[in-house]
Amino acid sequence: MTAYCLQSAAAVPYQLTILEASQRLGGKILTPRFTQYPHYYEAGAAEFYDYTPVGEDPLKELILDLGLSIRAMDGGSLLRQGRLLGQLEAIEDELGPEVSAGWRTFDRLAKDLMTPREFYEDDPRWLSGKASAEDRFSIWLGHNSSPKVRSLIETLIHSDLATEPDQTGVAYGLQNYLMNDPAYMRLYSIEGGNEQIVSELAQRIEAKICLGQKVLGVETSSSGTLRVRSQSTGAGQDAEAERTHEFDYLVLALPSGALKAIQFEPGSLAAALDAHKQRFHHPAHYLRITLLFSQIFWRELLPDAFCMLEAFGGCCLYDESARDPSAECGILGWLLGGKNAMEHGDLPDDALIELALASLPEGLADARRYLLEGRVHRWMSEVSAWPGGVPPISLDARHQPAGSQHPNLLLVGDYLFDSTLNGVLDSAQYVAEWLAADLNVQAAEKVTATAAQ
Amino acid sequence: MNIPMTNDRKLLELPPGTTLSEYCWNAAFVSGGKGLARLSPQREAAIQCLPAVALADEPLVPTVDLQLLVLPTDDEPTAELLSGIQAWTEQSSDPLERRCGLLQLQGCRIFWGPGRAALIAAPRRLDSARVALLEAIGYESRLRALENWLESGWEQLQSDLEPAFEFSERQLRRRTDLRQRYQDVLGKRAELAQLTPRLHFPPIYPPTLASQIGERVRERTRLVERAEFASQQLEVYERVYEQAGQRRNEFLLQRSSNQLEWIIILLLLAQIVLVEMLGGQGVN
Repeated sequence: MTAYCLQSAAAVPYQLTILEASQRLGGKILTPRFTQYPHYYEAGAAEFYDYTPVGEDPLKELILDLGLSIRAMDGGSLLRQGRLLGQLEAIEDELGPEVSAGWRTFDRLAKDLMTPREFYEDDPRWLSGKASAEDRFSIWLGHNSSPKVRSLIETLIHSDLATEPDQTGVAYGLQNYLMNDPAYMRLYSIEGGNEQIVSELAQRIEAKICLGQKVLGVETSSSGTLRVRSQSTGAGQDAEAERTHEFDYLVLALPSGALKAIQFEPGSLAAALDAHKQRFHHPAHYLRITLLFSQIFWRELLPDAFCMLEAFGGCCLYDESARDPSAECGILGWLLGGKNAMEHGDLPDDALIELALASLPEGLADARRYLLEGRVHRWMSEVSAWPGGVPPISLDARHQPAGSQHPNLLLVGDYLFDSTLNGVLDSAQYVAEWLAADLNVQAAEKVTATAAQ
Repeated sequence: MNIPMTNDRKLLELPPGTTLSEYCWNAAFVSGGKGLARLSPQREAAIQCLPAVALADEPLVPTVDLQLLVLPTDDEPTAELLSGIQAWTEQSSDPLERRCGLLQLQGCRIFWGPGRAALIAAPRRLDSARVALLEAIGYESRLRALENWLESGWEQLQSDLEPAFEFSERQLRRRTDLRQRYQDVLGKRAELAQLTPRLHFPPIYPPTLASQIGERVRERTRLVERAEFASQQLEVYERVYEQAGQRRNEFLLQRSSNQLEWIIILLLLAQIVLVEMLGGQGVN
């Protein structure tokens, strides 16, 4: 993404090298296919956020510019004891009038605290006078809802939050609640799989792409460049071979957890990165269980693209086959978040598949009969529980952790904004424009120096 | 109007408390009604069985837009009742439009067709569901009326294409008609402008039964897309009548300009003749 943005922003020629530890580009955007039947499913980022109800949406524009088609996704109702609780009236019938009324009150408070524009701007300053940027969401939730309402809200947002309410701030917690309201944002996915955005971007960038190169360490050189040590993760002759690369600029586009695995040169560089990790490392976790069934047996009960289950402390159940109307088989995907994802992450795949099947309500008890294949994808510490950092700092400081001492080391990540794919684009654009400006200045200085000689 | 219910034409027994109401939206819109949901029915009566001959055969107002049957029940409706209600709903005033949509939501069943709708719900859900249904069907009805108006106007529009290109003395006789049609088009544009924001109203969160009924009926009847098409068609009408008006003005301007020129020419001729005559008589 950064390479693509840089290509659009830079006015002078440059050489770009991409080092990727795995054998594929895309990170958390992953659209694999089943073995028994070649239907695709989303194993990572399941959807994109559409901010057009409030303002411009550069990511959606980019996706459409790349020639990709999108499909709106609706859902979010609670599936409880075989009944889809899609409206307040159903909540009232099932959980009682006090829960329904409490939810309305909570909803009003949440919307009073964050308008769609404030949600869109994602500016921590809006909180001033209403709540502290360091207040935990659990405390605010506890003050503004009864235990039953709190439990309902937690179930509804747990999988999106990917953490527990006591591990995140008020702003991020509220954002994850308010995102269910179509006046704030909507959801969509890319027809044919979200990973297409990665392949389309890769086709358009001019860069030397080195797959299977894990970055081990970063050091400075006497000339001011940055030296990167990497190790081959591939098989064959090059396996585990170490290589050294030297760059004028280095952009680390990694989850905050992955930064920990890199050794930075002791001194100012390591100290700056340690401070950055301390501020931004609030690990959150996802676990995805996706099952292929010989038929779609749930549409009567689950007509939407996704719903919420009470199982696993609140998880999201995706009808993955809704992404592809031509699918002959059915696909259901469970998205577990936070503590539950972490706790279940160590279990073997078979056990997780059994647990997923057991979490289905009575009306879908036949699931086991139709099961063809199951896949599990673990995303431990891959997302941020408190994006933007605690306490929040300026965008410059987020992206340039070592400041003026090492200005050529830059960071890109969703955790620097709002833990979304839109956040990745914002971050990538910020750094790309910065780099492009630097490159332009350097080119101008060279021309002036040449002319002076 | 005859209302055959079931195949064997038996009377269909309805749950206690069932009512049949007649609504007419167009009048309310024209007279500046604040919202369809606030409309009171033109006539409402409790009925025990269908066909409800008294109500259905003799509507009080000549143009009833909707007959709404409301059945309060906590019990699961029987298959016979459902098929009977569906048959009644499909039996709209227009024999070519015998179609019926069905919406099932939160234990509430809604059948709707072009001129009739039926709502089966638990008594405690009836009020909100009825208001939402009336509002959504009201929008649909308004839009359909506009579409019908547009559809019926194409032939007339064809004959009005000529004055939109070139105006002649012969067409001057039609200018009152053309002006009236242009005013009608602007009136329809104003109606659509009033209606469109209501169709684009975003879904409500947390969703309620009423909000979802509204959203789903709007979605199922493709109101947003239809409003866009209607807007495009209205644009064609506007262009034709605007151009016709422009051509008419140009024609009238040209005509008066020509007349003025002829007057000047005649005056000049008269002057020349007068000068010649006076000169011939030796007047200095």
